[in-house]
Amino acid sequence: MPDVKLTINGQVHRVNVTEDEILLWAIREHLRLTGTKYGCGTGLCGACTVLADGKAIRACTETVGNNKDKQITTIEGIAEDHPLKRAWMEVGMDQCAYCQPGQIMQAAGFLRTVDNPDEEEIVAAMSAILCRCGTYPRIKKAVHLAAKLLRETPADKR
Amino acid sequence: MTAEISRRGFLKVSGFSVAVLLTSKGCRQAVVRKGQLDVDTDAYPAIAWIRITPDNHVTVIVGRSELGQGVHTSLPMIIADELEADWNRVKVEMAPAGKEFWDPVYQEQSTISSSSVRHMWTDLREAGAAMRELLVRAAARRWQVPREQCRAEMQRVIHAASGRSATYGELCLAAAELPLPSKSDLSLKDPSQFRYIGTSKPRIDIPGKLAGTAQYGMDVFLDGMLYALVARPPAFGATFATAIGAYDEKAARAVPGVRDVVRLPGDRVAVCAETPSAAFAGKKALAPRWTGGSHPDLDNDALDKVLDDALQKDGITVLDEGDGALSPGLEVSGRFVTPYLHHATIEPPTCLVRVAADRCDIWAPTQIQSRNVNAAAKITGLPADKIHIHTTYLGGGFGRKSYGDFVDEGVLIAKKTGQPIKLLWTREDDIRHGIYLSSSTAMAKAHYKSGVGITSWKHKVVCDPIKWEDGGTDVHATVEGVINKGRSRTYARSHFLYNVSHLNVSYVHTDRPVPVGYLRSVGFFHNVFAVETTIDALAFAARKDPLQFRLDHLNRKQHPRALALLNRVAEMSGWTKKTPENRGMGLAHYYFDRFPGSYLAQVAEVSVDIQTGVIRVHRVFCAADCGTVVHPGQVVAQVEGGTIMGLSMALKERLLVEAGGVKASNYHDYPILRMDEAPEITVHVMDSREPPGGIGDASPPLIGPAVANAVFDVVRRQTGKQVRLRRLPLTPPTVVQTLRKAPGS
Repeated sequence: MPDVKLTINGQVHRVNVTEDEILLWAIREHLRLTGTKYGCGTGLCGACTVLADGKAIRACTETVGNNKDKQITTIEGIAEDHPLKRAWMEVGMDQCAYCQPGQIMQAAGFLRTVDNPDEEEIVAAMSAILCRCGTYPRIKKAVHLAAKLLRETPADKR
Repeated sequence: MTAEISRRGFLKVSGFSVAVLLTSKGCRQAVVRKGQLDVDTDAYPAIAWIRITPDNHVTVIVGRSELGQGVHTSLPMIIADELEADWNRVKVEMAPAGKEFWDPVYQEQSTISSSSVRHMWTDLREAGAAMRELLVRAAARRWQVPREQCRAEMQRVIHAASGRSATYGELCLAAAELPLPSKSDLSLKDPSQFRYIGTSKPRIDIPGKLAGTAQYGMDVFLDGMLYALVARPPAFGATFATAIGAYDEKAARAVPGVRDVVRLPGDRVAVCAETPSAAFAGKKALAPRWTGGSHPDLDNDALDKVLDDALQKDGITVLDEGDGALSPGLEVSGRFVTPYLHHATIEPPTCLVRVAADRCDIWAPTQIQSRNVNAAAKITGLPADKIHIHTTYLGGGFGRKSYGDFVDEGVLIAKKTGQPIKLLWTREDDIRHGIYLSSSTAMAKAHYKSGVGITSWKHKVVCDPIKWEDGGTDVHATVEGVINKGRSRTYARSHFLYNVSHLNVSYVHTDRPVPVGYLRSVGFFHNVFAVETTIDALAFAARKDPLQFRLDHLNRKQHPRALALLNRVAEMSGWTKKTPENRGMGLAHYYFDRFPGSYLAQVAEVSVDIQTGVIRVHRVFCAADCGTVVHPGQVVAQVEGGTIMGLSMALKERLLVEAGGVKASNYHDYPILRMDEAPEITVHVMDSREPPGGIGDASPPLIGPAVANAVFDVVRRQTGKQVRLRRLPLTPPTVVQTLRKAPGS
């Protein structure tokens, strides 16, 4: 019986897959953490973005094997009162929101690398994630706001 | 008026269902006790619009799909307002499929054409008011006081004289026993009394979506379900290459986890497996082979050639009005070309289906429940009332999910395999097997004479018509935005925004193998582009400012709202002020005629790299008048989003066709706009008490012409050249080529 350990949102899961299984399918179809979305299967849209040891990756082009020793964070691992979600709620992503988990995870990875990004840095980082409904101006605002909220948040609570 | 409209509202209180059926002929009542019903008791209580329970909660059951346009918030707001419900005690449920949720105009359950608020506005208000009246009467009766002495306020009925009050929860059981009020007894609120309508309540669906717990199409699971992937013919009209073996079923079945291989009509074959990866491996092992199809040499050039040829033909005249004998004056003419476009929702089509002996359950991100029910009944052989649709949230629709093809496919596979099926469409499946907005061409020729005005406007449109399943075609979608159809279903010149002495509009329909259908804004997309760039060209030829020219020739009598909107957007954008030399400003506006209609106006501020042809859109100013606004924040979101989607279509998108099939496959060769190309957008929503018009479908068409007009402005000021862009998408090579050939001034 194939059996791989994956650490997701701080919890160890045993998944009945082989190491070459696509990380996205393991997360959303095997473990049923469905906040991580399928969009393109080739890393072009970013709907499946999760964090692996704090770095934003596209789960649709990653294998389980490459990530079995990493700490994976999915949208379900970002608390409701986390600065990112507070910023997203405050700005109001009033569209279909299918891409938003991926947007938030991309922003989460990005804001670990820079704490006071300028507009250009935000656009460079966030252009990786597609939104067909057109929330880009709002996402830009939300990343600015989230960065500000994060700076005001004690390091151990981020 | 179309057919007589039935209005239905329902109140269900534990154990009782009271059906309020309000028709134009009056009001009648049906009190149905649960248990006495000869219907599915699981399904029946849900076929209600409003449910009030003794725990003092109001549940609004919404028949419309939530695609991101906010109807699961805005429609309940309308009911809650008239009902005088406390928004904090209002819950929302997605309705099952049922006639009770039919659109009163389209006579089907669908979420299309920005119709939710504009078609349901009066019905929802009346349903809320009927429930309120019922509760007030129940209270008056309980307290033995005249009904006139009682009033409803924030989910309570109050009798001020005696200081008594009761919650809706306390009154609901008594209310269920009462006869329903007649329609003439309903008192709708004066707009000044609106409590929720006109406010931007937080979207009720967003927290779950950001938590990752909200269910979209792929997020549902059933025990024993199999994942299905389908191999479909890559070329139009292709059939299985039976001579050399259509596909290797044995190899597919040998893949661990693959449980079934089923052949489907239309020379498709499905692989069903225990996991997605096994289904992918199985599909690969199938190695299906098809013939070259019905048009093996078909490509974009060949498809364009059909349009070119058709443009030379005499069109079918849809409108020819006014005096064409006037001496015409100076002439402006242009040939327009727009490409095939795809919806490219980030959530691809998908569904989960279980077919049992006595019922069929479908979980799907669908915009067209009525059609799904009919098709599933036909496929399964079950009666329509045994088809249960569980509509999930949609990860974008834009018209793609108003087609039932993907749901039918899931039902077919589930029926054939006898297993619950989660049907996956890959991005490649989505882009290659879409139902696209038709590519088009147009010729617009207009004349202007100083002191007389626009003396003539001749407009010919060429595209494939949208064909309906019943055999009809949507001609309106071909010409909408040049002229409009209005409610009378006759073409009316009065709906053209400008005063023109002689207006002639015609079309030629082509019939090409690429399947075409509805995509957000439909014909407005290509037609508004042609009209609003032609009016700009006419203004330039007449040596007039584009805003002033529009104001001078606007049909103000018919379109006073357009006048106010143009002035508003000019003010927002600082139109009359001097723009920097390296920036251009372009204007466009139009009337979205779908009854009762909306007006939009937009200004784009752009710069162009003269060497590379790259257009950069910096800022966009939008003004929208869509009548009475239920949720202003949602209107802003739709205008913003529609502008970005419209910009994506105008700057980047073009479906690649090659070797008789769609060549485009994913976001690399069907690119859509990313954040680095998105402008800053400012939206102003006009205050209005006109009936509510649509906005989601209405918002994409202006950005294309606004940008093209702005490019003309900036290039002329920078180089003296007149660059009139008439071919979409406005890619850098197109801009450079046009620039090279452009006349100087």
